[in-house]
Amino acid sequence: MRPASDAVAPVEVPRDKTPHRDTDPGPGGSRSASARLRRRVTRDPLAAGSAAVLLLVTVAALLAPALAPYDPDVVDNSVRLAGPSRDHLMGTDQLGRDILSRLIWGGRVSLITAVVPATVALVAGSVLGILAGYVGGWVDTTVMRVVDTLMSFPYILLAMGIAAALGPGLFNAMLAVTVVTIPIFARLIRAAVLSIKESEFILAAQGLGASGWTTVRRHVVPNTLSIMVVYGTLQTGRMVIAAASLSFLGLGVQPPTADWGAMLASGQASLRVAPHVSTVPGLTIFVVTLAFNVLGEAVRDALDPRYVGDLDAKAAA
Amino acid sequence: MTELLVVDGLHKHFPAPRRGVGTVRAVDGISFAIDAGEALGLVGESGCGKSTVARTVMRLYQPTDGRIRFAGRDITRLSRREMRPLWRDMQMVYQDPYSSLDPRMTVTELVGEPLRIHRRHTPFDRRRRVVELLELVGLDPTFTHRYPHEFSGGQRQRIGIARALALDPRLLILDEPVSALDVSVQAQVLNLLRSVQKTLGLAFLFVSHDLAVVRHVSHRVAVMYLGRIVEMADVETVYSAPSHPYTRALLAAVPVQHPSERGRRPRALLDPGRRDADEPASGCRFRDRCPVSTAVCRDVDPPYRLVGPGHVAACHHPGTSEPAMTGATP
Amino acid sequence: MSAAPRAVAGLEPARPTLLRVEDLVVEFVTRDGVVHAVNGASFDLGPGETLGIVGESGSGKSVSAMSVTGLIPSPPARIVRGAAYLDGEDLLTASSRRLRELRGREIAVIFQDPMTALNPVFTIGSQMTEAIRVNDRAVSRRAARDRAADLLARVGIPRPRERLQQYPFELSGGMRQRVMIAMAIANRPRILIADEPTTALDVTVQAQILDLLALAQEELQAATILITHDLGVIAELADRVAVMYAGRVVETAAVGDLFDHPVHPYTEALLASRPAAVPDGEDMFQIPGVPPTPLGDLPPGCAFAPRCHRRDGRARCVTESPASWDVAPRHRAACHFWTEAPA
Repeated sequence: MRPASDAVAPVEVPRDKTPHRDTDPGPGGSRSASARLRRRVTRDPLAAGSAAVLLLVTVAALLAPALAPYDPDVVDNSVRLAGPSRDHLMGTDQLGRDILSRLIWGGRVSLITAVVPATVALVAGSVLGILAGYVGGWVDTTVMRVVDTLMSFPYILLAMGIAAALGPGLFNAMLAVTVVTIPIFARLIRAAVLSIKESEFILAAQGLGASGWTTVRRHVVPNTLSIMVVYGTLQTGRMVIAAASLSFLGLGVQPPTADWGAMLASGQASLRVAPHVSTVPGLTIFVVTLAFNVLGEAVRDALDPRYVGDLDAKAAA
Repeated sequence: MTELLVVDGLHKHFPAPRRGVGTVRAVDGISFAIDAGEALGLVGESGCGKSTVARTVMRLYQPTDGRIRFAGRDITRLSRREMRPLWRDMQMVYQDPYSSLDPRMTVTELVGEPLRIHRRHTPFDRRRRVVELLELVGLDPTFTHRYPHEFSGGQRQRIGIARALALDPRLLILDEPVSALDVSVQAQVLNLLRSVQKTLGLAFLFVSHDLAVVRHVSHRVAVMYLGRIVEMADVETVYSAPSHPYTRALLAAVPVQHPSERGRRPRALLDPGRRDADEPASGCRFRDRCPVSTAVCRDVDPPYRLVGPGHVAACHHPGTSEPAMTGATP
Repeated sequence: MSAAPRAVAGLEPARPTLLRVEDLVVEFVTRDGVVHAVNGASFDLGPGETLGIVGESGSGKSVSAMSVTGLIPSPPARIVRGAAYLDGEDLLTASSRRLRELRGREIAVIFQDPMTALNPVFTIGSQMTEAIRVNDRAVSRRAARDRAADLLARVGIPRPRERLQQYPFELSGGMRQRVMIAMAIANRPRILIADEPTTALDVTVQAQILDLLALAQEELQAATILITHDLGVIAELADRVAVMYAGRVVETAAVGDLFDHPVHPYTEALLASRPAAVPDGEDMFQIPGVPPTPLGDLPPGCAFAPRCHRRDGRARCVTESPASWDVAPRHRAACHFWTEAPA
């Protein structure tokens, strides 16, 4: 038994006889991610504006039949290329069709061609990414070689190539955009999985006896969700442009269906006399894409600092 | 025979990271045994391989060579599936309270996970058991729905301990469980570990670089250097009458406990001119830094000698280096 | 919430002071609110003296000492008030140019993590010669290299010329820290600030570095601010100690006094909760609860009150922030009930 050291000053401090209890939950108690997001969206004008824009576009697209003042396909040669007026708030195109109505109906197409491929690509890409990242080995190598090959082509060019090969049409356009986007998500999610795999909690799960499948399901996937949401949102913006580009070139939906990219294309001939025919849809594409990007960043900021409530590490002053 | 864990000639080698050739012999021939209810402290500086020992014994790594017997059964080559039921009896507490808990799970889910994996309880029983465990580790049971980031480091370690105890293990492997905590919180967690060890009669393999900490939780202590155990004895002996020059140097290097002791004793006993972590090719791996190394140390790897009852040291000249003044050692 | 009130004018006899920090308050403006890193810290440093600033995470020890160097990025940091006088000049209001002049020449910093404090893509030699020449344009490259080799030898690095050609990753942690110390003393600064210089090191290496710091300090006669959480390091090197908790200095004393007669309950508790303070076989003394987070509004009263073993439920501890009392010659403590400290 070591004698009480005489070098340590005998400090008469009463012993803590209470049971070992932590009654306060410690530092942090940080606001949840959704609260942070809400705060960002309401305070930051850019984020608020973007959320409003996207909300508007979505609602307009859903309520198109009720909202659009005119039938988008109705041709009226008497009012061709008319500028904005009380009758036609955004004017008419070269066939006398109301631009506002076409914009609203076109919103449906544009949103679908952006959101559906984004979602499908996200799911497919994530599955591949998780597989490659977690399983590793030859699975990883195979998947990543395919991904690398696809990614060595410029995004839009590859989409155009696939769409052209498949032929025009809405479905083919969506397919092309999906295929081109899957590798992006696969690579992203794989990177996230690789870093999660190094965490001690994964080791702990294995030590508890969790099978690979259980570990992936309960630990890996929930921890990649935030990345998926963020980059899904950001990528959707990019896909609005991709879809518009395809239909601009005549590869997407076919006329007479209203679509922003097609509207942009058809207004080219009359750019000098009636610029609004192209600029209105063009501006819309721009604003919607920007809105997705800004919102995506706001979401990333809200979800990113998972440890923001953890100040033990940060406040090591 | 009450030996719960027997490790015999354990080796774990990793492929060398940089030069691409050769291996890193993280664990290079370790043997020890832990009885049921006994706490063995494994002490050493960074790079000595102690964490690797912990993880290999836990079978998170596959041993390169040697044998591990747990509860009488040879677990050296078992697959993950075969290990699964054994992990009920042998659990681990990890070093980093910030990354050893899944940030996406609530406390209940975290502590209840082992119960869920091993399908031992109904959900209702699980909840009850979780509450029981939280009380055991001194956490307020009303916190069950909070997430790890809402807790302090010390509390997170308690959650980790609760999780490790969920299935009533017989052996707890602790890998630097308090190193990442503030000093004022370390004592809390160490006291908790002491009490849990006593009341539940657990065996411990307690790995740490901090000599003072190990002293309070262990019955016996093994000192590691570059993949080998260089000395092992009961805790009082190691701290008051160490025999191996490295152990003596370690103890001597600990800062004084009171300013009046400054300069009273020789402190940095090791040759500062050592080459970085390159082990010598032959003989005792400590010889380049050892204050008493001689020719035989250069040629012959020292065997374990019994230098006292229950006290072994791997040295050709045990007990001959400058004794660390023990007046203020931890 | 205001920071701690100023010190009570005291019985302290006048003594030469090299650096005096008064009532420093530093905040960090972050996304999640304001972090009150330092809440009214005052300490001073005499010439040639080693002042140890000891505290746990969140105590503000690093931020207080580093704010005199101008190395705290601001924003997000904001010096709300306070002054740091060096030779009568307030460093907190000095221009960044002036601070750059002082850094390296008058004030040198030894950082905590030798792995990250040295630039990995430059050789040791180039970093050291840069450190020398930046502060003394007149020195030629060759002369600087010679001086660098000499410094490396003096800090105990064998074969210094070889080391100059090496990159940081080729050196061990202890070696890197020696290099940092060499760089810090290269220009014979008057003040050395060592921020947790041994925390990232193994205990045997730590012992060597502590010896080296003591030697360097002796040779340069530099005043040193030693920031650490380890009371052992304080016991080894400090002449005077300032104990910080939740951004305030709760006790200042000569090192022997602090260890023998701690007045503030936190100091007492900190000393008692060292593993070595308790014989084997007994539970260690533990301080209940956790150090407070610096984020968000500070509660009124003493920051240590929720964990204080001497509080006895008294209301004053949570309503009124304690002043800093002169409890003995050159010994100050910020506690309402300092008279109750055990003798």
